[in-house]
Parts: sequence; structure tokens; C-alpha cells
Amino acid sequence: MKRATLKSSQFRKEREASWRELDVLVARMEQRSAVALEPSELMRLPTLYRAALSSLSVARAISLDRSLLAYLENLANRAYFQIYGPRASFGEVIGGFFARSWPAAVRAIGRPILLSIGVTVLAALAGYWLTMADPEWYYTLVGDVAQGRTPASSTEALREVLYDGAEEDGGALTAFSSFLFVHNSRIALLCFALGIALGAPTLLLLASNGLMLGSFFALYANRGLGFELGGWLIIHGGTELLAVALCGGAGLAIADAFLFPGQKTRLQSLAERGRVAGLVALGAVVMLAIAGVLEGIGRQVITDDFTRYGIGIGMLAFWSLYFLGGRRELPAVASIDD
Amino acid sequence: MTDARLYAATARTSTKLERADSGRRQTTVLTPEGVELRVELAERGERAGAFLIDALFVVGAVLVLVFGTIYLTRFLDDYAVAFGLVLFFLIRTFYFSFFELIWRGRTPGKRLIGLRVIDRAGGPLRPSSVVVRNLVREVEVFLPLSVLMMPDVVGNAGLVRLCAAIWIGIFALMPLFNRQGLRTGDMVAGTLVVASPKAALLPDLMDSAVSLAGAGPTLRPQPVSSRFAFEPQQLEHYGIFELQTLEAVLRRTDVHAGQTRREIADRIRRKIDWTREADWNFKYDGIVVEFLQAFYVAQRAHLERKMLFGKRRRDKHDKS
Repeated sequence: MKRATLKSSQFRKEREASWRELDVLVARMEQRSAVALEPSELMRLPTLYRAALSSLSVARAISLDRSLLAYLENLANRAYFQIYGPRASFGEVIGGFFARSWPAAVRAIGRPILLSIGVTVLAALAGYWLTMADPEWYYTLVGDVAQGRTPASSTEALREVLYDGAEEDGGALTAFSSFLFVHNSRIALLCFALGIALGAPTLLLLASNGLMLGSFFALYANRGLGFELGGWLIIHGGTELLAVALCGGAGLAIADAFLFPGQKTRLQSLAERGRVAGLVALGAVVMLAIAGVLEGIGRQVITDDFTRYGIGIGMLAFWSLYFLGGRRELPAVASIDD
Repeated sequence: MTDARLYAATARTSTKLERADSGRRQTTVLTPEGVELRVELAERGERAGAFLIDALFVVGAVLVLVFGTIYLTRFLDDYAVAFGLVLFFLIRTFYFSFFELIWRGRTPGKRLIGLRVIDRAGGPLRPSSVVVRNLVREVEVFLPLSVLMMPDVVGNAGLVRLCAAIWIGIFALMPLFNRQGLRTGDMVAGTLVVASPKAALLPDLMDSAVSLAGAGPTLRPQPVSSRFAFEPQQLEHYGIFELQTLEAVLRRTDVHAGQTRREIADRIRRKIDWTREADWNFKYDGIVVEFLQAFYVAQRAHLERKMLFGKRRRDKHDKS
């Protein structure tokens, strides 16, 4: 028997030390995180990882030792998980998100977002027109959700709602803001996630939102309070509606990726677009937090129509600049948030 | 017993995903270095278990939060409510994302069960993938659950519940309908949930002899017995599958291992016309182990040498 010269045994003897070294490093990273390693060990890591991968390739070609193959496969796996896990720290992720990824993601799915804005606007116009023609529509489209405000309310009562709240104390207003934020965020995230059902529920949500808005506006416009309602809505609504439209657009982008994958497979196309759409939806939550503060505190404290318009339009201008003012060229979808 | 039957069984040729030694289905991921890694997919049950653990943590955190808020309202009035509401939203929406970001694809539940999220295409796991796969969970689980538990405020509650049930059927049960066990969030985010078991590097059977000490066999770093020698034509009967099954049998330490080894030794002796040792010798487990390991060493050397010339004999039915 010439077993002393067997290549696979010799191979194992030569490389075993470096596998064990990598094993120890990876085990420590698994216990804690990359900070568990000294700088010199961190430098060794890529070398050892590549050596283990090459050992795995060689072992597959020359060795029939099943336990050795299983061990190398496992070691390479574990090292791979550590090296290719999310690379950035939590803080870096957040910084990069606001500086680059979010506006880039919004631009990358611009068309579905425009569609979702379009659906909302059309539905709002329809709601407005229907309710102007016949106030009874209000009961169908809005129902009883707007704090008892219906066509049966007096003009005085309607006007009062627009300007009350200034005498509330700070605690109650803050609680109101956070309630609005949480509620709206849930709806908006739902609008996004429902995109997986081929977008139909997303479109429905957007349309019903628009119909309610238009009908509500018609209620006030009928009494000559259109301008005042505009200020009451736009101070926070500009940001809030834009956020909902972004989420809707993100949902539609997912549906689009699934229905029309083009050259790619459906799963590939979904995976690429889904990440981008998710970033947009995540950012919308931040917008809704801002809108919540504007609605819960800003609107209650500021009762001057022109200041309300000023803040609302200012916010819209800010968002447009932020989303559209960055680099002209669209980044490749895949490279967003690398 | 199973090993003995496996040894005689024909090689399986199915198009299904291969199973790893642990019994998990496995799939391959191409690393950026161009090496195909075999990863073991998480079982659906394991994933459900990890989710339940995480759900318990979330519920626990929310309970603490609720009582904390109630307590704090004494001092902070409505500010405590505002704070509590936002925190509740953040915990519920970002619990999974937060942990998967800081722990490289693992939540506390996944960590306890030993699972991990990776990128399906083999690249680095991107933060956006982590966020997306967990945002979609809202639609998969929480939305239909809340509809199912909703009081009968809507006109046609039965119909609504039916719709919710169908919804759950499509989205929540998605992992049951595809081979890789992807849930909807994984599809949208391009991720995969894998098991991350640990494997120990066992001694090489080529140069550590199996010796029977007490109850089971142990491996000692000493030369393998050279009492048994095999002719080249005696090594032409088996392929890689049989060799690796033999390896597994030699490494077994359970109480039935001796019986299995005797059966396999008999089978091999018949197959290769082994006549040199008298039959009575093989009644002793020590002789059986010695014989099997010697055969393993010779067979592996033979097959590996053929492999260097580009011939991989998969199993005994493979005539190449």
C-alpha cells in the first residue's frame, strides 16, 4: 500500500493549520462581532477565507474524505456569512440612507410613483366633482370618520374645527402627533407591502384615499371655506400625501417587477426592484413622522392661513429639491445602497 | 441497519434538491470569488420556531412598554403616551430589521435555532434587503391576523374572514409552495434563510486507526493496520457513494454500529471474493473494524488516484 503518498492526506496535513486559524477567528466573530478581532487578525481574515475557498475547490477535486469535505464546506460557509453579512454599521447605514440611497431609490422608481400620485389626484378630482354635484356622496365616500363633520354640520361648526386646538397643552398635542404618525405609517407601509398582491390593493387604497380627500374638500368648498381648508390640510398634508404616494409607488414598482420582468426571471426582477422599493417605503416612514409633528403640533398651534400655506408649500419644495436635486443620472438599480 | 441498507441501495437520481448529511435540503450559492458554496436550507419548521421565539420577544417587549408607559404617565402625563406609541411602532416594525442588521442576518430567534439570512445571489447581504424582507412580513402575517381577529364591525364579516383566510393561504403559506422555502418577503428582497450548523474537523481515517476501547470505537493517531492487503481488481467493485457510506459507518459510535459493521464486512467479503482469512476471525469486532478500515484506505487511495486522471466513479453502478 502506498498510502503515505496519498495526495488528499498530504493536502490536508499542509493546509490544516490555516483552516484551524480561520475557524478560531470566525468562531470569535460569531460570538461577538468584527470588533472581537485585533487589526492584525482582521488583516489575515480575507487571506485565510480565500485560502479556505481554494482548499474547498481542491478538496472537491482530489479528496473523497466526506468529513473533511463537510468541514471545509461548513468553514467556508461560516466565513462567507461573516465576510458578506451587512457590511456597514447601523449608523453608517442610516447616514448613507439619507445622503444617497433614499433619493436615488425614489428617482429609480419615478414612474410608478408618478402613477400613484396620478391615481390619487384623479380620485380626488372625482370625489370633489361627485360631492359638489350631490352632497349625499359624502356619506358614501367619507362616511363618519371626520370627527362628525358631515353636510349636515353648520358652516360655523365646520370652520371651528379648522382653528381649534390652540389651547391644548403640549403633552396632549405630542400624543396626538405620535398617534397620527403611527397610524399613517401603518397605512403607508401596508400600501407598499400590498404591492406583492400584484398592486391591485395598493391602487384601491390610493383611490379611496383620493376620493375621501376630494369629497372632504367639496364639503368645505360648498360653504366657501375652500381656502381655509387648504391651509389646514397642506401644512402637513403635502408631506403626508407625498409619503403615501411614495409608498404606493413602491408597491406598484413591486407589482410591475413581477408582472413585467423583461429579460430577467421573475424572482430576479422582483429581488432587484423590491430592495429599491423597500428603501422608498422606509423613507416614507420618516416623512410621516415629520408630517405627524406638523399635523399634531404645528397645525394646532399655527392658526394663520398664510403661515400654514407657507409651511406646507415650503415642505413640498424641500422634498422636491431633496429627491430631484441630486445627481442627474439614474444609478443602476443594483448599485443602490452598496 | 439503515447504513447497511443504504450501502446496498442504488444511487438516487432525482431532480429534487439534494439533501445534506443533516437531512436538510441544500442549494448552492455562487460566492463573488466564483466558488459554489453548498448551503443547507433552513427547514420550514425551524423557521416557524425562530419566528415564534422572536414573536414572544416582541410581545414581551411590548408588555414591558405598556406597563412602563402607564407608570410614566404619572410623571410625564401625555408625553409618556406619545413616547410609548412611537416606541411601540418602532419595536413592532423594526425589531427584525434591527437585529438582522447588527447581527449579520440573525435575530435572537434565528440565533437560538441556528439560522441566518443570506443573499440569494451570493453577494453581500444588503441592508435594504433586510429592511424589505421584514416590511413585507406586515402583509404576510400581521394584516391577515388582525383581520381575522377583528370584531364584526364590517357588514359582511364572514366574507371578510374568508378573504383573510385565502390571503393567508397565498402569502403566509408561500414557503410551502417552493423548493427553497422562500417566504414572500424573501422573494421581494432576494434573500434566503439557511441553517448555520457547525461541523468539527474529524481525524483522517487514512492515518488514525479506529480502535475499540470500551463501548465504542475511537480514533487514535497511529498507523492503520497493514495486515490486510487487497488486489487491484478487488477495488473495482465500489464507487464514491459506497466509500463515503463506509466512512460514516467507521465513524459511528452507537451501540448498533458493531452489528452494522459485521453485516457490511460480510457483504464486502462476498463481493470481492475475500478468502484469505478464515470466517471465524470476523466474529470479533476488532478484526471487523481493522478489515473495514484497511479496505477503506485501499479503496479510497484507488478511487482518488483514478480521480486524478479525471475518472470519478460515482457509485457501484457507474461503469466509467
